[in-house]
Amino acid sequence: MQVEPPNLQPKHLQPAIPSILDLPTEILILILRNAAYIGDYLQYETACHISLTCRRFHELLLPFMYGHFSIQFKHVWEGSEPFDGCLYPRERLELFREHGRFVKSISVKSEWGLGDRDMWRVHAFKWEPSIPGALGELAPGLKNLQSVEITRECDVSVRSIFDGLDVILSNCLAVTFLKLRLRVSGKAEYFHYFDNLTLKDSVVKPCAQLQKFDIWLAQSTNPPDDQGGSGVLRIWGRVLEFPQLKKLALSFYPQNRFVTDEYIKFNYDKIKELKLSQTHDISERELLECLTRFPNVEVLNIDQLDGQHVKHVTGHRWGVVGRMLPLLPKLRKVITFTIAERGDIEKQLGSEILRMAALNMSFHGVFFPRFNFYVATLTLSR
Amino acid sequence: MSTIKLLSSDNAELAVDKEVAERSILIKNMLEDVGGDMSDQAIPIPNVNEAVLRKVIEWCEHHKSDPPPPADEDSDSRKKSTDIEEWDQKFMQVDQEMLFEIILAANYLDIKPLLDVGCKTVANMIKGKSPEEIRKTFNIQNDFTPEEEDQIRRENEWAEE
Repeated sequence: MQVEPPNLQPKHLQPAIPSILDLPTEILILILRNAAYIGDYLQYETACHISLTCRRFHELLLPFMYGHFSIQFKHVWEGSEPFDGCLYPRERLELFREHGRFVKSISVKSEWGLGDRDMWRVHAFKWEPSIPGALGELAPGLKNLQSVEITRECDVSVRSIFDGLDVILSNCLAVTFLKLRLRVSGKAEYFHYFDNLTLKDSVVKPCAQLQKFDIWLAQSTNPPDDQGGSGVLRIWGRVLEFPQLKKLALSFYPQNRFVTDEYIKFNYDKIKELKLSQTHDISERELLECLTRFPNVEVLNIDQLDGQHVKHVTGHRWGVVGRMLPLLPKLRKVITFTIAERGDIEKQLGSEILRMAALNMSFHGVFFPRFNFYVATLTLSR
Repeated sequence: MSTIKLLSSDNAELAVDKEVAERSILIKNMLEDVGGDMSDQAIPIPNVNEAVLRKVIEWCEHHKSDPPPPADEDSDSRKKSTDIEEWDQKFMQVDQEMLFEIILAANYLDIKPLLDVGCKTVANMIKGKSPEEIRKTFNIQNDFTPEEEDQIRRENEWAEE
């Protein structure tokens, strides 16, 4: 065996560690990360104190301080002209542009209405660029950006969101994760004005090769428009294409289960991991219809198979697993939350499934008011 | 139970149960490479002196039955909090030089849970302190000019959401 000869120097001749600053960089980073974060959340006050200690600490804190950029917009009227006002001052944008190489994740948020609390901020910073404007300034510098989360609660135009997304996905080629959370207002006319009239059909072909895409759609209330149709979603003429995507998360709300078809294109055959949420009140037929689109899915993560979590455990949806199998020949794992007990699930699954599957249940917590909540994993060997 | 010998940087030979020594991934891999038979030859640990090596072995003895840490980084509970179990807290009540030496030894010997406890211990010495208090705790020189300090203070304000 080749071994290094022992260090025969007396201890006083060996390099001492008089100061924390003499620790190797990778260890200092571990220490500072432990100090500056609670879980995944940066504690700004602590981080600021650390960065003000000395140059070395300041330098090491930069990736933490600028690792996540969040920017928030509100839709504002200025006279008769609407614009998307940024809630943050220009200095913040400049700062993140300067430190763009550290930014790993970005969250763009546009929220409900304009509360008094924020009004002064939007007015104070009304020269701020709109969403695509702000992201257009930032994006070229975000060379290491990996994760993008865009939330549109309301008010800011859909066009802005898609233009902003376009800017990011065509500039930031390291992006692998996109979370798009869109809420559609009940006021159809309002959207016709902002989206239908201004939005031209186009196809966004992002250069970034997404690996995971998480989309959440919600329609709060959706009264029929004058033509008697639900209208709102039809008017989105934009199409996003993610032909190489392998992992997809979809959230379904009752009115718009498959609306993704209208403006987002995947290569369904390529999806290997699928996560479905808000599935509690879709019918088995609808669930299976959805799954037929993903013939090569290997891992299916579904928020629940219990049916409604009301009053008592029903467990009545578990039988659907058996009916999924012919549709998903490559399926090898089903993961779901459940309040059903093992016995109920096994009964629903039936002996034929149990012969080729291992059911693992791990306790997750107590579901209101008193049910035990489990993560159930069904591993199939087919 | 088989015993192996470790040779510290200051030439002290320490006998350790193989199972205990194998908390160190470096030693474990080394033993695997030679087919596990090191009964007649001491393994040199050139970066670690006797006092530190004894401390490290003490930690490994206490934690010899711990389950291996999860391989999946995402589910790694080590990242989630700076809580340290009571025994480890007491174990880490040493002077700063020894603390840093233990951390370096854990890093060299590839004992991740010990490295973690060491880093958390130092992190807890930083938390809740002002910049001046941090400097005092670790004997760090303030090498900023007053202008730089102002600039960083301003930038930190903008950076915070």
